[in-house]
Amino acid sequence: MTADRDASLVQRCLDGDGRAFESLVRVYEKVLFNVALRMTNDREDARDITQTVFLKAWRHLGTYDRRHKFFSWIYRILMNETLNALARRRPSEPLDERLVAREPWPDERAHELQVREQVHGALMTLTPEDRELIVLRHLLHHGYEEIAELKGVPARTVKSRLYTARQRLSHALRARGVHAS
Amino acid sequence: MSLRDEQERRIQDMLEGTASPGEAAETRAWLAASAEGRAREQDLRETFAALGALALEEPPAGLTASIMAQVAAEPRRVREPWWAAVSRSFARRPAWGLGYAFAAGVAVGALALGLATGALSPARHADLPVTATLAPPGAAAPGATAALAAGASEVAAALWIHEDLARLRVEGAGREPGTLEIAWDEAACGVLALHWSGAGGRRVESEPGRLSLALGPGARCAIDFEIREATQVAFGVTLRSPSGEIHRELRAGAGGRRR
Repeated sequence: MTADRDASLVQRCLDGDGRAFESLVRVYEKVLFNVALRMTNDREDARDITQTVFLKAWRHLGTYDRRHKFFSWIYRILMNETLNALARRRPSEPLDERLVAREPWPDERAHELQVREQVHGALMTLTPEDRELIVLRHLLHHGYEEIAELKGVPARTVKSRLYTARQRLSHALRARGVHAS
Repeated sequence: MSLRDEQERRIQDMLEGTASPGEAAETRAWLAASAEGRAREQDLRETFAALGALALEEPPAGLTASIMAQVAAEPRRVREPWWAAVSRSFARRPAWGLGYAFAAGVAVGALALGLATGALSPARHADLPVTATLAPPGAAAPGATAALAAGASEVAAALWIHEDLARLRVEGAGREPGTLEIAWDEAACGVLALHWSGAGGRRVESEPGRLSLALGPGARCAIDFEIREATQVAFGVTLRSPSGEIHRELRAGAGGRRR
């Protein structure tokens, strides 16, 4: 169903229907923005990346091979843009641990937000490759087969890399003293 | 932790819910007998719980509008390459392939004959002009311009207003990079997008009503603003270099649009 809808919208775009492209933007902007956000941990960067991705998609829509999923195609553009943005970044200094709030948080919601922030921070200590897998699996809730298709590697490779990525994340969280439960 | 990879994987499979009932039972039995395993399980349980706290966030307001404004400003319509359409036609009607092949053969033969007899001579194409990628949508002439020079750093700034969009374009020149700070009234307008062109530019920092850019010679940045509540929009631009600082203001009428 999704594939049919996307194929129809793409064809309408190719026929010059800008409103069809707006539909594609509305369908995918949230997911793409969130991937960029978790990869960069910066809303401004994520917004810039998302915009650039859609603009490039519009410009190069004619080269999209409709035998593949539209999401796979635009996701690859997103990852290229994201990795370029990360490569352009100057290395940032690590946050002084003494500056991290240690005070108890007043309620459960605040604790949840604190955990989320800590997870975002811990994710940034991983390599972009590890971070991407975590995002696909645990934020977008993609199955191993879907991730394998996006990454162009076998599902067992995805699973193996995810074990390692989660292992590293676990160590990063422990180093930050995060207790989610 | 010195657990073997296999044990670590079993724990992760169990916590993720991808282990079969038999594997999960086996892992639980092993954990019951291993204090080290239970400690690692607790760590991983925390990790999975933390990952469960990840949630999708709403994109910034106006993102769709900003993307579509950029798409609308694109000079050319998206088109399918000719070979994609041709290959689809062949896939539907394979017999057409023979017809096309015959026609192509005739055309190549005619071309070869023309070249051999001098009737056709290869023409040199003039270089096509390269158009700027940061052309503003709609408006032809800028509503305001400013040239700033601080030491060896120079910046040219231009402001366009088009309906409820303002575009401020800044371009680095001179011999040295400089830092350009742009300030505006956030109640009057808000940033929709930054478009970069050329090398040597980057966003240093931003907050509502203020944006700081590093601009090297040749770096260009166009900043799109959504006009909210204003009959006139104004931007203060300050160029700083190691040897000086200069401030200018760009103002242009916004037509009193109310959103």
